[in-house]
Amino acid sequence: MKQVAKLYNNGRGVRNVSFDVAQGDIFGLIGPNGAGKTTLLKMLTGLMRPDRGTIHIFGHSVTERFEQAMERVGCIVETADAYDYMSAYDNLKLSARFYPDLPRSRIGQALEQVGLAQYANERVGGYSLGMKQRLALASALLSNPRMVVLDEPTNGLDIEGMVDIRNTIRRLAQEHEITFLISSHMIHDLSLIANRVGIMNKGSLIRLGEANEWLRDGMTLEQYVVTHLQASKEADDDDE
Amino acid sequence: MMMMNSLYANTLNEMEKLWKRRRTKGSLLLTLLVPAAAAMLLSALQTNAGVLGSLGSSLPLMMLSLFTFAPLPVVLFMAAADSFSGEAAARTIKLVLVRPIARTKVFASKVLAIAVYVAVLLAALWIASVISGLFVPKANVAGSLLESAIAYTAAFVPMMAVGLMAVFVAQCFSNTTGAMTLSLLIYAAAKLLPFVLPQVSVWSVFSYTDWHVLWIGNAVSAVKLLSSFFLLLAYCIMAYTAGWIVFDRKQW
Repeated sequence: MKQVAKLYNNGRGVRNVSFDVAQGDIFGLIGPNGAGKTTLLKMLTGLMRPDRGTIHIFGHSVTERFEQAMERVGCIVETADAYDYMSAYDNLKLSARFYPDLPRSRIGQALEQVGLAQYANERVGGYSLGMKQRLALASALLSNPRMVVLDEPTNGLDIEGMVDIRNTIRRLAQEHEITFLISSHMIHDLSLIANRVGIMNKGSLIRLGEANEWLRDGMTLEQYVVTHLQASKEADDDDE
Repeated sequence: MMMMNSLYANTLNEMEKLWKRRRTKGSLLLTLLVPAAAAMLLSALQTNAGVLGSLGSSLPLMMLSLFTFAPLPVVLFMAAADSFSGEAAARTIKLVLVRPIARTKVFASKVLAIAVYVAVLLAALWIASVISGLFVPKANVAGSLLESAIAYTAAFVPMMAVGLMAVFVAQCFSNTTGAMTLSLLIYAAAKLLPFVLPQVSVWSVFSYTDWHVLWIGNAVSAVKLLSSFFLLLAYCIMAYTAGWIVFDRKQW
């Protein structure tokens, strides 16, 4: 992602953000509400077009070669939505059609992976928020992606669900070298799995850090983030 | 291969989503039941009056005229609203847009699914009308089979033009009700306007919903048929292009 910018009429948005994510990274995007995290992920997944800058996934430009760029990407952006009038199985069947080489059995596996196998044939309209979140995760993982983009993946999940998702992410990153780009305000969750973080504030990426950076300084990720947000605020105050 | 597959895959998906909605099944059921009810009514009237045999023969064309006037356009407005504005409101449109498929193809596949839906509804209506007509005493439905088949095939073109207009209207709304309401208002206004300004009917796409009538018999010249066909085609192209431009530029 190079010099990516997207500004809304109210002056908010994303300003000149650049960063790379390496294969196998679990990259956490952290920042307060309105920092521009979701806008950034929406541009990454083609839901929004950047005003400026370029975004490449596995060497393919998202704006120019979208199909190739998204071929091995799974994602949940903003909310975990699904077709309420269909079953979980049918929802995943729709997604599976985009991947001709995917065996039909993969749908059952994905549902099992997120603990929804026994509810596979129930209408999603009757699901709880947590179950919908799990279904969205199953949909993101369905195509055996090389990269997974998750926006607030633990929203609506109970503690057990959060632990499950954390473990799933860690296992997939380690065993299959899947790259994860996760936006979350749950700093504790990210501190347990992320090996790199980007801190966003007011549309800008104010810090890119490695896990060993905050550990070396004897900080928790939370302390590290707060320190940099505070420094950014003071710099803004000085400018004014 | 991948490129072609994504269009095909999403067309199948859109057809499946359309089919799994209750109102699609309801519309199809209505399409099958109304001709049967009409045939029963004609039979009952004929038994009492004894002069309605020829009406029974033209049951398929009567049904086509009835359905293309209001029920089919309304069903198309619903399908377009559900497929575009409804998915935007439910945010499920994003499920498709983040898959490896270009927006151009997402739009094309949704329109293709609506086209298949129109064809299925017309085919179901024709089959139901022909079968129902066979049960009307003294009716000779089989004798006018070719004529009715041509009329039903011709009816696809204006219905598709109406459907594409509804697709364009649906781009302007992020909820089904708004899209449905505006489509209905435009349709009603377009149907009433020729009573005040008769010259409008020549240019209004909504005045051609009974276009199939021109194809029956030899009353209309080939030139007239061709010019009206090109007018409908032009409307289809304009509505498709305008709808696609709005859809392609949307930020979700």
